Amino acid sequence: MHRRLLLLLMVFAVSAGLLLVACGGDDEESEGATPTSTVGIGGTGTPTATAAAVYPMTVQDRLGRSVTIREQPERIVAASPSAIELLYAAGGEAVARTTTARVPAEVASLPDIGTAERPAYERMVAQNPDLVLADASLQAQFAQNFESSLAGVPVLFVGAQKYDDIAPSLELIGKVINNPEQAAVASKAMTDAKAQVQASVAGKAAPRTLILIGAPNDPFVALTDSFVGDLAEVAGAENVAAGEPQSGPLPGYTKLSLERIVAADPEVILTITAGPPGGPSLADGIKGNPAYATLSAVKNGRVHNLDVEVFLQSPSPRAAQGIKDLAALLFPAAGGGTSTATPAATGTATPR
Amino acid sequence: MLSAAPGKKPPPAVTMVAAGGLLLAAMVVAVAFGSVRLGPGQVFDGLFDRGDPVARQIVWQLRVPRVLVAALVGANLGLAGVLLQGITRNPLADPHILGFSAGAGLAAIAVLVIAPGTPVGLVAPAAFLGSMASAAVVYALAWRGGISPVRFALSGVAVAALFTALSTAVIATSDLFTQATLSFLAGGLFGRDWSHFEQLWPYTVVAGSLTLVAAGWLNILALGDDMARGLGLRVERVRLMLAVLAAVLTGSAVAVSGLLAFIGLVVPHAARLVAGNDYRVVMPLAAILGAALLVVADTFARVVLAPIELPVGIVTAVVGAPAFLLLVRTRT
Amino acid sequence: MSGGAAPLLEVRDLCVRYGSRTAVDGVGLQVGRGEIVALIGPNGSGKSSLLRAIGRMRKPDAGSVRFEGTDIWRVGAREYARRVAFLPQAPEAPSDLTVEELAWRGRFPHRGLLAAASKADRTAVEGAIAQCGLEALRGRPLATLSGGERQRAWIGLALAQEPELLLLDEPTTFLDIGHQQELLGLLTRLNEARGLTIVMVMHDIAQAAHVADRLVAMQGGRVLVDGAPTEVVTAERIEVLFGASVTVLRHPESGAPIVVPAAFLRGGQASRDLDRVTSEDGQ
Repeated sequence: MHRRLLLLLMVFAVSAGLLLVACGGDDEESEGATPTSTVGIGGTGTPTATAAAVYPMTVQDRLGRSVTIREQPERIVAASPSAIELLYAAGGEAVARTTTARVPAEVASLPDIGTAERPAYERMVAQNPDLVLADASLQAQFAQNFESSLAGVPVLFVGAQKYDDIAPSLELIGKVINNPEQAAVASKAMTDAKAQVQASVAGKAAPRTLILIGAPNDPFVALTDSFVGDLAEVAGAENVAAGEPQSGPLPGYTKLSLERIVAADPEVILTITAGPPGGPSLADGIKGNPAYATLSAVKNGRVHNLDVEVFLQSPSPRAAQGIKDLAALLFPAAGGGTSTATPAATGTATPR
Repeated sequence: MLSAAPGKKPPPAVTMVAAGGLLLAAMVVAVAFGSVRLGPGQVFDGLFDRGDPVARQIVWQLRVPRVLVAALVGANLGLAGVLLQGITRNPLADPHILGFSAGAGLAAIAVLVIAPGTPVGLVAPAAFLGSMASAAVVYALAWRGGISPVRFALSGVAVAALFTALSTAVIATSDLFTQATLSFLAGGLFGRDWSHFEQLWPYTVVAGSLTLVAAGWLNILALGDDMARGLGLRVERVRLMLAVLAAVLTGSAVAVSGLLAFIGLVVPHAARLVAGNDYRVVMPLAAILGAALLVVADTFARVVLAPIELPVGIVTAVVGAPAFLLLVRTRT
Repeated sequence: MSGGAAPLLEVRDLCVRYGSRTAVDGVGLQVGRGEIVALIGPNGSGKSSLLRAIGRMRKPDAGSVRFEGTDIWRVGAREYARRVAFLPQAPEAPSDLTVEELAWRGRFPHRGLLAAASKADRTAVEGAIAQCGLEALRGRPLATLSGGERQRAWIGLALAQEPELLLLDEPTTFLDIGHQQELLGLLTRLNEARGLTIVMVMHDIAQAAHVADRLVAMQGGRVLVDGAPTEVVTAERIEVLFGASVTVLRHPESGAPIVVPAAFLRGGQASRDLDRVTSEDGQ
């Protein structure tokens, strides 16, 4: 009894020690995040003589809030992976990133402000930001929180819950950082990609598609109003779960019984693996699961794993390539645009 | 007056000073550390809302209110736990197990379902009312010409299970945007600021002072209902007042922090292990220990993997359980 | 000692019901100041219910209990507790409570909730501890005491209340014979030294007869007989009360009646009857 307790305490002590070590290492790394290093890196979306934006300017953000920006933002904190991708695509640069943000690659060296779910406000403050880009879908509930915590720094909510939200977010950011030209290019790329994909799939029979996310034994099913569900619809899929009620707790997703799935007999199954990278994919789990063996999609080898960032975690301009890849997976014979035979090469779909 | 028993119990004054010192130290550490490293001078200036504007914002607008809110929530839950364990004479009673917080959770969810656009600030009063209502339900169910402590505890457990199930059912069948609800159910102190402090402190001060009066009653109630009646305590009336007090403390805390288990259960035991059986010592001690535990746990949550923030409910158990086990081993 | 015209305690036509069961059915009783009265009777006869009604544990369904002529429900609970102490049969307490802390609890009805201890409080507690012979035990937690010591500690609490009337529910039940004797000796001394009036429920008839001035024998919620021990304890009455065949002897020194089962002479009949009586009562 005594020995067992000692063991327990030791486990606690060791784990506490590990945490402390992890903490120490992190502190050192984040030394650059202290307010002493306030050398302005500045935006490369620098003001050009051509289109002089007028500051202060007041814009409506993606939550419908009215945001006033006093001067051209030079130190921008992006509080979600999605926000940071949108910012860079619109020609801006950030001074800090969230823990999981890794696109574009250069943001990896920026100071870390924590997760989008619970960002460390004090790290944001320490960056002396003059604009914070918050995530309209992940962080809407924190609107007041952001404002009170950031002491007058303008907070602009951007982001996307569906494909068509991306272009307006890009344009909004472009306007605010005074780089409308690049934002317009990026925005046009989005609309062009959609037009191209829709033209290529027009008139073809939409394949019955099931989109699964999570763990193999109990996955969620994406509805049409989830981001991935919207992208699939843009790419010409017929979502077999369309019209199903949400089961909670994830908005836009539901649980479907295996019976319903078997009855719907999807021709294509798209999966998003929400696990640690390098772990087994949901697609493999589905293929190896006898319960799914009778489905057309499994029998015909049409179970495809999708990139978790592009289709779930970080709604961004990468969705343009995403819908092209989806179209290629959904309509393999005809081809869905540029990346016909090997969607793996594009990086948004990883058939592993 | 109540001389402490010789041997293991230190005099109450020593205990209180030591516990107060512990809380103060915890709060100093909590304000000094965060995901941004600040020098002692910056922290000190920040405490007076002056100096370098960045440090000032971090210390005075982010850390100080959050630490204070943690202390108040911890104190409230600790006090509510002592009250409920005293009323039911059941060592496993706490606001969570007796359904007081489950009522708060259900009310918060119900508000978000009925009016999805409700600002988060209005969820708090709903949670408060929900806690009061569930306390009333538990009390009514336990009433049969009087409250038996056992019936009270069992009714509480049943109501907790029912309300939790209802919450789950509501979440599962509604299509509201549940992010706010989920973070409420998980509990935590992320982003708590001065407005939360201002919302909470009157409850802690008023109800907290009343618990000191109640301590004398709990001392008598501990001798059993008959003995308490024989000593002139109006047992039913007192029990009702204490239950209301517990509901106010729980409801106001839960409205700010969401559902946090563990503190209300363990802190009262810790206080009793240290201070013995006199509720006039146990009560304030539980408030201080509850405050200290949540302050320490929240600091851990913020700092250990900074800038990633851990859920404080988990940290509370990780920090509190070993400390509690140590106490149990050395004191019993 | 019997003080003047009005008795200290007067019970009139008292009825106590639990649901459909009538536990006390029209009882009348008077207790004078300084008396020791023992309530006896078989299980379920209503003696405990009567004591609880006197102790203000429960409102009577009919009739009244008067203390010095005033209905006890017309005085406040605290005020009553300053004059009447009640000790239940098996009182509970936190196990680490010390004897002295327990005695201090007896001051509750005398003190304001936040008032500091007064000189009178200290005197009362010290007096109670001294009278119960608890000086050496004052710092000991209750859990470490023997049954007899613990019962004395509880009486210490009751004495700290400085009552005029002490109510006890079977105070000797869980004690061995030595501790029973010690406890009854203590009660007798308190009665003689302080003029403390005592009403107690007792199980053992011989003990009751030995210590009490008066016995009140109850059956079926009514008082069967009320009088001096020698009047009450006769073989016929014990037969009626308990359905037990007994022989009543006399204590060689005090002359108090002693009850010895006659069952030894007649095989198992009496003990079978006893079983029947107790199982029917089942309270």
